[in-house]
Amino acid sequence: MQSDVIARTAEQTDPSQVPGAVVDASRLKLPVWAIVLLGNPLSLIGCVMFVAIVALAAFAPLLTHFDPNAMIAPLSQAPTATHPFGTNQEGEDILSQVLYGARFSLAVGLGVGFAIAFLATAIGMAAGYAGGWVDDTLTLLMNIFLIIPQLPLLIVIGTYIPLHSDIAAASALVMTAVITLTGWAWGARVIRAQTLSLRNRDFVQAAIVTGEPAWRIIFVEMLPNMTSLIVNTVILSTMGGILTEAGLDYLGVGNVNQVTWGAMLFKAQADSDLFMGAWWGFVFPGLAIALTVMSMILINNGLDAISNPRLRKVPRRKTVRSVVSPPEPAGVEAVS
Amino acid sequence: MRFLVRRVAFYVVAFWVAITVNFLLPRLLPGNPIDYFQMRYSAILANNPHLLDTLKPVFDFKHQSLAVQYVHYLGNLAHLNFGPSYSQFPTPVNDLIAQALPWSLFLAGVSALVAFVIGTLLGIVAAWWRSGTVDTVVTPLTMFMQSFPAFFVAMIILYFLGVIGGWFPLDHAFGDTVQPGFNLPFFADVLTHAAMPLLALLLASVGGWLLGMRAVMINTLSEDYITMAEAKGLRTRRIVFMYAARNALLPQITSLAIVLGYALTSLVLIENVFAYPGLGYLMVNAVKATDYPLMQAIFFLITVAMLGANFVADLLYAVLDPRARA
Repeated sequence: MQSDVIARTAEQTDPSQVPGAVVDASRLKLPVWAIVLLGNPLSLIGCVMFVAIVALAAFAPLLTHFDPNAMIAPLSQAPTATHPFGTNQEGEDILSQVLYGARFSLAVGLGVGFAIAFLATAIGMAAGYAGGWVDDTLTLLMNIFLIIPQLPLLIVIGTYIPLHSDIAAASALVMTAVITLTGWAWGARVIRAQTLSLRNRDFVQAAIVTGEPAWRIIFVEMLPNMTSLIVNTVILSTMGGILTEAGLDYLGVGNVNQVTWGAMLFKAQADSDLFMGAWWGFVFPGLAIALTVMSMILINNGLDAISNPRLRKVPRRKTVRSVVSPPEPAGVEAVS
Repeated sequence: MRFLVRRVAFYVVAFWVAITVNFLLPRLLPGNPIDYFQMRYSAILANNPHLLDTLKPVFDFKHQSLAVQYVHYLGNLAHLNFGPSYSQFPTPVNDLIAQALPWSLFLAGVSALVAFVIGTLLGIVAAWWRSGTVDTVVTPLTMFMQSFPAFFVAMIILYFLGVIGGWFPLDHAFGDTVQPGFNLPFFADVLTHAAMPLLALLLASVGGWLLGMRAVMINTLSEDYITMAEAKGLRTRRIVFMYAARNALLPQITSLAIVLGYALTSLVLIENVFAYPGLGYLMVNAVKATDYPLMQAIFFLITVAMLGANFVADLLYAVLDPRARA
């Protein structure tokens, strides 16, 4: 009797049996977060979209044989078979520009995302854990960075420090650094709030009282509980990084030499693509940005369900797939 | 009271940091704006050397120590003396800003108000009748719209409504055929020129209000007093607006600061799409022309505006929520 109770309990708490999963992951033995992420249809779409965009950017040379900077094609042509996205006013193929531009935009976006998450976590946890004057100073710093509007500040900085260069890696690095240094404050504030609430919880208080060293409390006790928040910060900061970088390039403060989505929009405006009816000049890079950001919003929604199980879909009652029936007591068969 | 005093102290510190950053940036980096200016306008300066004096309020790098320059800078700031513009020398910067400011205020003010009203109303409806028509249609549509960059939405509007449809004029604030002044043709012309930028700004900012209001309302609707109101048999409209929405509006005020920052960013980008002669357009042109005095002045103005708006929001919050006055 006890063995089948254990078996039934094991089946009910088996993490692969997440209710409402679209994908039957019971055979795949994936960790819980992967199952929830892929189980929710919207976040599955988001994951697929994001992976597809990264793959397209990575395999760009294989997908198009046009050099994005080569002005060889007929000028300002509508989409055709050879140029599926058309060409711009300088004779460059737009499809190849979108694919190669994805590399720069994604690189800056992901760089900003991870850098801001790192910086925000470091500063937020330091402020939340230390308390006292450290907390007051860091909070003042956070509030100042929050109040000064980011784009005007970046425009002013962009005048004095050139954000564009002929070397793609250099300009990507400078842009990432500048956007990170002006945009870390919001994530830091959120992480600080969570750290403060965790610090008052019993397990942390117990750890402090039993004399655990501070570094151990921060990294071993508190940090694992903040994983979902940090991942959330990474995703939101990546989105913000992509949009800010595109905005800076569009204004001409960032890159106009490199091939990026924002620079394509800058060229579309400068070459009066809009007024000449050449919609392919700006629609495709804009859609690329929108699809990338949308995929991350969808993934973000799926991640909310991991940290908050109440957001997972609860299915209608359905029959249990495998029924563990109690074994007949040996005595009954003997009697009947 | 202590809450307000602390907030005022913070704003003073933030203001000081902003103007110090504005002071330090051109001086920390290599290159001297005065040399640049002398090189660019060498012809004019050869004939009129006294014009260099007009630049003193802005840059006086070469001769004095940093501390003395800082004191002069603060003094000039107190008199709002920003010097002449580099790109439109010798027009004073203040004149250029005075021309551009009303357009930005008009655009930002109208769109912020309309976005707030529409977004909040739709958010209330979406929250109360969850999974109703409004919620299932508008909420995903808003999330979808939030992922589009603001200037891309503006470009699409400009293309489809302006270039293809031809319903609205394509750029600037008013046409060449009308006389600026308090006359009806001018106002009508201004409105037709402002229609597309207003629509673009509206679409960019309404999403934030809608999703925020919906989220707060959903939390408010789970409170006990709402259940009590329903049990008492009050009319639905009364519960929704007098009880739930009134309490849900309060946290929205705290998000005003973030929304304003985002609206400012959108304003700069959208003004550029439509070549609308507001502060955003002026700022980007100043950057392209490396017009340092104009850029510094606009950055100063924008920072002061943000601080002021945040301060007003804090005041409003202190007035509306007695718990904050503790």
